[in-house]
Amino acid sequence: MSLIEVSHLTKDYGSGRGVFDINLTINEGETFGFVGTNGAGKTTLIRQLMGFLKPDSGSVTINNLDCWKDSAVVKSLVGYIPGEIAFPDAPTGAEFLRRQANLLDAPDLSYCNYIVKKLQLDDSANLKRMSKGMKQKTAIAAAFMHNPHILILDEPSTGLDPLMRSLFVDILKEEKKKGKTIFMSSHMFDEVYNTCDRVAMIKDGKIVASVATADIRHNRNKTYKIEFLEHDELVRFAGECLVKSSVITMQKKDDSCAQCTIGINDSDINALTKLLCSYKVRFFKEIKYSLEQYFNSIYRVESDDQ
Amino acid sequence: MINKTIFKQSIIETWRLWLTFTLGIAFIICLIVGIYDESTSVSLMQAVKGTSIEDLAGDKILTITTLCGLLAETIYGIFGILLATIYSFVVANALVASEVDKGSLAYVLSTPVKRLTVVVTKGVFLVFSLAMMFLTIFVICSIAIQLKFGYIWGYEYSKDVKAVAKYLDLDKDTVNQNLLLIKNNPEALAAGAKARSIHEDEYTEYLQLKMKKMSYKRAAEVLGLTLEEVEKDTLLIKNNPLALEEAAKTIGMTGPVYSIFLTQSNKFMQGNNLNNEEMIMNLSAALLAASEELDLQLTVLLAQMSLIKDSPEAFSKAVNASGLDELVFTAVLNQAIAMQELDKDTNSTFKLEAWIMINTACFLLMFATSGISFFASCFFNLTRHSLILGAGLPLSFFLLKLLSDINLSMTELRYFSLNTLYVTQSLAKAEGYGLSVAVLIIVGIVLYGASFAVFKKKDLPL
Repeated sequence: MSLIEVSHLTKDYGSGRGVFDINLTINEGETFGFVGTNGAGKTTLIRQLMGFLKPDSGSVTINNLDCWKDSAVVKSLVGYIPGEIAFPDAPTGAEFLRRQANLLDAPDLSYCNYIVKKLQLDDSANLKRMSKGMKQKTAIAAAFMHNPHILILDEPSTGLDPLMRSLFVDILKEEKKKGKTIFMSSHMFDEVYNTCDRVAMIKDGKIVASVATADIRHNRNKTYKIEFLEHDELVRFAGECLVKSSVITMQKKDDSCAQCTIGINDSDINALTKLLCSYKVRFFKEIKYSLEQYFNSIYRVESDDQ
Repeated sequence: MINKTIFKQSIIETWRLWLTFTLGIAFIICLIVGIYDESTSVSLMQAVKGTSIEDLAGDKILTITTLCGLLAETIYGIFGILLATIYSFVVANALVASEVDKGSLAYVLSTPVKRLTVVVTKGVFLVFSLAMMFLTIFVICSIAIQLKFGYIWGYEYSKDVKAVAKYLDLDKDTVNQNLLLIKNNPEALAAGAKARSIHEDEYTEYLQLKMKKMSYKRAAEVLGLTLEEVEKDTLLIKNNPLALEEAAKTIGMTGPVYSIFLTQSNKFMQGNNLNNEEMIMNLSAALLAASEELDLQLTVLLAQMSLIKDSPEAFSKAVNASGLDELVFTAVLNQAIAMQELDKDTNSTFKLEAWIMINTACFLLMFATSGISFFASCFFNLTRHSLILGAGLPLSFFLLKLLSDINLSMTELRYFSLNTLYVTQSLAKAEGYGLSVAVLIIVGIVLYGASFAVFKKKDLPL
């Protein structure tokens, strides 16, 4: 069942800025990642989900409620981490969270305390003097505290150190297990790759590609890097390797180079290993196919088309 | 419509600023109340009466010489309004535009609280804080006025009435209602004159004038006429038995006695009328001569004209300068002193209604002015844009009003300022402010309404 529906959404800020004709469907329980460079339009889309901006045309609905007209109702379902960290005046993090709980009409702070503990956040610290990472943790606690059905997170891991980032990913996975629907934006591919079911890429306000991370993870076409002891061996291998699906790319064209990459389908892997037995190989390793490469390949195709 | 948490949060964020400004304004007013001296201001009024300064200042000279007028014109009109304007644009900006600019409003708006509720709560808070500001100032300054002058609670009797009441061991009210008690008792007369620090003959003249005025007032009430109309033609009283009886009663006389009293005093007045220009010229010349002889400034002498009689040299010089017979001169001088004393009495009639209206009108002006700042705060997303309109316009209004007051050639400027609707003269007299008050209320409601509508519909970069 689709929970978040974005159809033909356009918000034009002029001179090519904004979002244009965006269509997205996010199902209940899905974790959706939204990547793009700075200024690509991620935040503009999120602001429309939150009802802060009125769409020029098209519509955004959450649970069949219009995000602009019924924004107050929509927000009772949503937890939100803004892209910018700026808190209202409050002496401490704990005081800020308490006030936030009042506004949310959620007096039970037990879940909030759980998140605070999990993130190792010292919420008694002065809110204004907190480091960027501490502030971000406070923002995370504020978004998760009332245990909302939907989480809308605008670059949620900014400012977190790698250790905290992995803790945060753990929390996200926990939420996902509970059946939460998560919509997060990021400019880091590996982060969304590790947490999301589906990832869309936005560029210049348009969605250029959308992919299920499982498809990339379970891709049967793999790439390996092979280095031989001598250049001659490489030349011989290039000549003899007649495995059907393989595509060999030499690293360099000169004589000293003994390295190549080979793209091959999983079904032909045995034929390849058998063949390699007769060569002097220095090493043999798989090159992991990343989300970034996937999108880059699409980019390249796109720019080639133009 | 109003969210308690947001309201509380607004209080926490702004109470220090509020307290500073409130106490600041209250302090300035208390200071003025502390140094305000009735007799100086009366002498100031006397000094400019009939001079070109009076023509220039027009109504205003009468306004600033009373305590209410002084407070309305100088303190509220300048300090109070300026400080409250600064307070309101700083707070209006902090409540909305600054939070949008920083992005911190995202946390409030990511909760199920409606946008309209958020902005209405903040608007109501701003108006509420201004109302509390003026209420606090009003309370603090009322206490100060009460402590110094005793104007707020109870009727304030003049010094002589107090002194005589004490001497005769009578109730102050009884004495005040029956001034004949003083006039007919030599010891009481001496006590009263001493309390007013004037001579007995001058004091008698004063009592006469005072009784006449009180009786005229009562007669005017009975006849349904104004005080001026009755003063012009006393036959009106004589021809109406009821009015005559009532007027006589107020000053403890019987009708026939009062009738004779009226005839006598009027006959005297016709002969030595101070309204006669020639008499004023004569008196001025005499005062000038006396001030030279006494080596006093003319204004000081004006405030204490009875000093002339204390020095035989000065008195004879004054008589010579006036060109009048000694007896006539004395009568004229006594009358002038009596009128001055009467002026002091009317001056000290502090009007509680006017005092309340000054505070209310000042609040209403701030209600309208803060509406401008609040609208700017709701309309713009950036603090600096919000302040250009929200601080710039109210401050311009303030300066335009100030300029138009100071410089006669720029009076036309007042038509470009909202602050002109704060009408000091009418407020000090507690009359004729209805229209401007109504306009201020409407302007405020429209501006706040527009702010709410704009904020509800605009795009927020959060």
